[in-house]
Amino acid sequence: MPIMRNKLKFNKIKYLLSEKIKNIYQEQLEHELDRVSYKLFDRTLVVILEGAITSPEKLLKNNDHLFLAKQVRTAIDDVIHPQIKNTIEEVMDVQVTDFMSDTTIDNNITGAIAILEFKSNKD
Amino acid sequence: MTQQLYTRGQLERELSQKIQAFYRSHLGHRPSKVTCQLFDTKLAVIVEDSITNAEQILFDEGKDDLAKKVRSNLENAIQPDLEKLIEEITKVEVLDMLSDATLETRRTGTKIIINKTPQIRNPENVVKNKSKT
Repeated sequence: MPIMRNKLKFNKIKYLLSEKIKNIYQEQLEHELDRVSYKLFDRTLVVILEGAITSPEKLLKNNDHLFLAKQVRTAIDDVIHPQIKNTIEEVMDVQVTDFMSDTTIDNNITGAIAILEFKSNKD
Repeated sequence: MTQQLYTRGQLERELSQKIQAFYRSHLGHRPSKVTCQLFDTKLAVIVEDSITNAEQILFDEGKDDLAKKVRSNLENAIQPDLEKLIEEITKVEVLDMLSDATLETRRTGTKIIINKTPQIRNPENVVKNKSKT
């Protein structure tokens, strides 16, 4: 399977992705994600980040500033999500041709869909 | 059992440490330093590195107005709990709290007006207000 180009089982890839994605959140937002999970089918990788909402956003939401919290989240996602896309490309050694993502503040969850293009085995 | 009184320095240090922990618990961000200065019936609190990373991202991305709006709303949101914390430590009533932050320097300055000087072991060391503006 092309995805196993680096001879890494998908479990290993998931582990590496999770570590790197959690590090992005920790380093840039000082925030610890609860859980990162994946589903890979065909050329599509679904990534679910649970516990993605930071304390300031929760505070805004809990004080009736949901709209403002959403504006903050949009700005955060604009910065963080390209890094997640790059991480997927780096760890899986693929090209992400499309990356669609969204976050719901109420459910404290981010969902992303990456469309993958596997590189040829020949360098 | 009588409670031992703090010296002014001890009270200021206690406030600084508790406020630092308060920021951590409420905003998920620990400021690098908190300095408290008690004078008369006022307390000045300087919080270094007070801006959360979420706000910093907004600022770095050129969304200054949004970052300021977020900061203002966050300050309003934490103010009641911060007042309670200060009242618990100083055992005096907070009458007013005036706060402002500079995103460029990540610093927040808060002036807190209390109803009387807290009881301390060395009240002569509390600086009296020399001038009023």
